Amino acid sequence: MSGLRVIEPGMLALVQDFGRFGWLAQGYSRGGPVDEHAFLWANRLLGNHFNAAQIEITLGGFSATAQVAMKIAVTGADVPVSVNGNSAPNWQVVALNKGDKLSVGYARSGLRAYLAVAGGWQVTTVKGSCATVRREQIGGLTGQGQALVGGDLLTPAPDNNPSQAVTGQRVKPDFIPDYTSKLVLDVMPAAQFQQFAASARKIFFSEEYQVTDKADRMGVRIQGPEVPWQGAGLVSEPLPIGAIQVPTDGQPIIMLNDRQTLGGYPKLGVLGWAAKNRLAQATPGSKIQFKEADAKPLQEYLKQVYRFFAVACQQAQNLRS
Amino acid sequence: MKNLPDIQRADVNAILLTFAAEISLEQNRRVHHVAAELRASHSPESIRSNMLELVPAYNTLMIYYDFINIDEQAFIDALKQVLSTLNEPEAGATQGQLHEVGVLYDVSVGLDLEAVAGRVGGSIDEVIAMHTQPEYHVYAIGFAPGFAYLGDVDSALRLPRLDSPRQKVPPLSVAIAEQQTAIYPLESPGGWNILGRCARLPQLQAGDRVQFYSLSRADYEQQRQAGAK
Repeated sequence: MSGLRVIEPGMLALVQDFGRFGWLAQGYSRGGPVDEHAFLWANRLLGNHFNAAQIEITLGGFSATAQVAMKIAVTGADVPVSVNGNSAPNWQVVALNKGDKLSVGYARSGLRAYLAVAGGWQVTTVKGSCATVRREQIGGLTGQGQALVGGDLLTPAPDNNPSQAVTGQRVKPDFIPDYTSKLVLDVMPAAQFQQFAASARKIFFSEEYQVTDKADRMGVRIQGPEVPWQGAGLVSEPLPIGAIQVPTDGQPIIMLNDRQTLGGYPKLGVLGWAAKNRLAQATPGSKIQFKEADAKPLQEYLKQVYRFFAVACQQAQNLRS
Repeated sequence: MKNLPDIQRADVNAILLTFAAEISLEQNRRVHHVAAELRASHSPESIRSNMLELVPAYNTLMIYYDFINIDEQAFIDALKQVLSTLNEPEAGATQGQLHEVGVLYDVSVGLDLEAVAGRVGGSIDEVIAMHTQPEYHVYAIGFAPGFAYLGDVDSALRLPRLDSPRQKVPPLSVAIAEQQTAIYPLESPGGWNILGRCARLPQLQAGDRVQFYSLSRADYEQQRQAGAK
């Protein structure tokens, strides 16, 4: 077996497919790419199935040697990519020859880069997915939730679509986000939204918030003017990804893909798809403005996105007839 | 159902049913009853083919659906239709699987066993008797994979969480907090009062039933070795 041999994983490099679906009722979170937009583009560029496994590289500092020729793409955070020391483009199909050294430097903007290969990385699945959720000790190369380490070998799966992955093929610049732009995030009101005082909602939607360093794949803590909750304590209920929880100190926590499946704090609503992807690329100190948004346009937009990327919803095993 | 649950959008592809505002066995039975009926083969095709995932909790049921294939309103209408024709679960009906789980109640693994006995004003044996007496109901699974919220704990054994949670609770610890009891599936932080340790993790589903019983050290070791094979 040969493939891509990791030299340095950097701060955090995780194997992720689109996520582990169908196990929430057993307490397993979804995992998967926190920036779906960058992930789906990388697979599309390479002609991969939407669910093909990639490497999610946080901040950068990743390097590896190609032991065989392969076609790759790096999307997401604006990281300097180089092959044998020569700069290579992001958001574009790049050919690696046998023996090439690939380096992904530290992000100039954004937080997470996605390294995809034509065919996808071949990783054994656990509960239907290879998504790495470290807290749950599941997924990844070993199946036990470990991040990649130096020496790990990632093997490209057979490329069923070689005509698709054309070297040099790239994403149109219009579709590449500017991760330095101000975050204006769409929030779909849901859950306890109506039970927050009008004055509390006004604070949340008119004031500016900031991403803190208490941010990981489970959730992002933000700080700013306190959002007060006058209601009673809640009984824990299922917690969607993107949910904006307000703990007792009034400083919201926005849930990402590795969130716990049940949560007991009141929620203002849920981030829209594009907003969640954008938040996943936000570094500590980034300023956020929240914007109340209607559900219907967000639903329609995501429908179009999923159709464009040929994302198919996955039904839990126990519900398949 | 007479008292239809409240139906709200929880996400672009998820609906949350809320049955009542409080924790009660009766409301939780309704949650699992509805989940079972939605899954059942007689459930309408528009529900069964579009329902992606069901997440039951104490008094709520989240339903993820294929929002690409079915319009939200059409899905909600189909849900309402099913709910309105459903009967209430039979009183006292216990359809869930029964799991008998052996626990080593000993101060060597029951890190709070002595303190708990002191706080409830009884002996360790009395604490064991109180904890093994009820048949517990699995209200929900969550927080972590396989973490089952069980209840209800005997009212004389109800204690608050520890003032300061432990950084590391050993896996398979059996613990109590307020009216709840649980087994920690993995090593994790936790603030519940630890009474003992079980030899292996039962595969629990929400709606199942659990009966704890006291194991001798020898039986505990034997079960552990059998489980390790």
